[in-house]
Amino acid sequence: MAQIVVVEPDKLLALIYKQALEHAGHSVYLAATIQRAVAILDLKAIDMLIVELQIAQHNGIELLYELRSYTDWNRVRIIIQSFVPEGRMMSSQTVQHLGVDSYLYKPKTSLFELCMTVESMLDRQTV
Amino acid sequence: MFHNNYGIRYTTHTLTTGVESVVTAHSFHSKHVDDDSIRLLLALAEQMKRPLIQASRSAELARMTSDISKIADIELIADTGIDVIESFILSLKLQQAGDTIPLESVSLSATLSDVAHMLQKLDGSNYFDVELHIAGKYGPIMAHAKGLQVALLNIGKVLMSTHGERYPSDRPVIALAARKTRRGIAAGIFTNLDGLDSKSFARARNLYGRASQPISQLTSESGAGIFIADSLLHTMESNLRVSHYKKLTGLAATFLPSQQLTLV
Repeated sequence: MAQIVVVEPDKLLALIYKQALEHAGHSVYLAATIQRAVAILDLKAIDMLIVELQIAQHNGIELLYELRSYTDWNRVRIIIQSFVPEGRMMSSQTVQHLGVDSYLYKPKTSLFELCMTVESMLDRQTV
Repeated sequence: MFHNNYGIRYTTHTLTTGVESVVTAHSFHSKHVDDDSIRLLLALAEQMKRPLIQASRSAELARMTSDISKIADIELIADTGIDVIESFILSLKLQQAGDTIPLESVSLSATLSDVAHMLQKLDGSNYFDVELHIAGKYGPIMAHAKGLQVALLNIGKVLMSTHGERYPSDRPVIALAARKTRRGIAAGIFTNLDGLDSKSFARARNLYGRASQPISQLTSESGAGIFIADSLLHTMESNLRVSHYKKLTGLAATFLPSQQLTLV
């Protein structure tokens, strides 16, 4: 199963995502800030990043640029799960350029859908 | 009929009066009140997404893991959402009342003490040091008692929730303080977090209702509670501003002392 970093500033939602993904059999690390996410990526062999774009002080896009600027992290799968609808904060070209695998609008994404998206990303990686 | 910045069309109640001079005189004021209310409503709508998503996902997780302890979380989340809505309704009612708001002599010490207890109750896990600094001689102020309490409570809640988004090196502090100033009596809520300054707050005042994260240096949320507090205090002829207390930063407002009781 996968090692996943969830970058989520909302403490309660972060715990909910952690429990749901752990229930699906994954190892989950939580980060409320970009700095903490980078620190985890440095220490662990992370397979996937689930990131909220709307974060205090630094937004999630900065993390994605950081991530894509290091070859070691290029294989990390990225799911954006955000309060910001697709296209409002970054264009679809930027989404593609940053190698984002899936963009989920948080208010409309159930835990089941999130888990299914994670599974399909991992299946694609295995193939 | 007006069009606001979001393309939402609305009419003022003055159209039903049938008196044209009243319509003209009243329109400018009504438009501003309605613009602000709609911006506040949009900030509230943005804010309300959060507890609703939290409740929905908690319920789904409870079903997924058969863990009924999540039901208590859902109740708490729903109560939080209801409180925000109630605050918004109160701010609207006070705005609509205009000059007829029943201002009264209010004890700032008692109000701050009540709010401190409410915030402490919300902090179930004792994560915060909730401090009360109300030493000093100052009499009652002129305010709307309920409005003042709700405004301070909203500010406190937003500041508390911002701590959850960081990894503070020191133990989080929420301090409620009052002090005498040249212009009156200042009261506010302060905390040991950076990201709040006058410039960013002024920008946030222009952005709320238009941006989903108007105080981006402080919180990832819409911070509706702060703007509802701002609106409530504005109806009491007070203004919310960024302020400092000892080494803490926060939001405070200055109130006029109650002249009625000065005579006693």
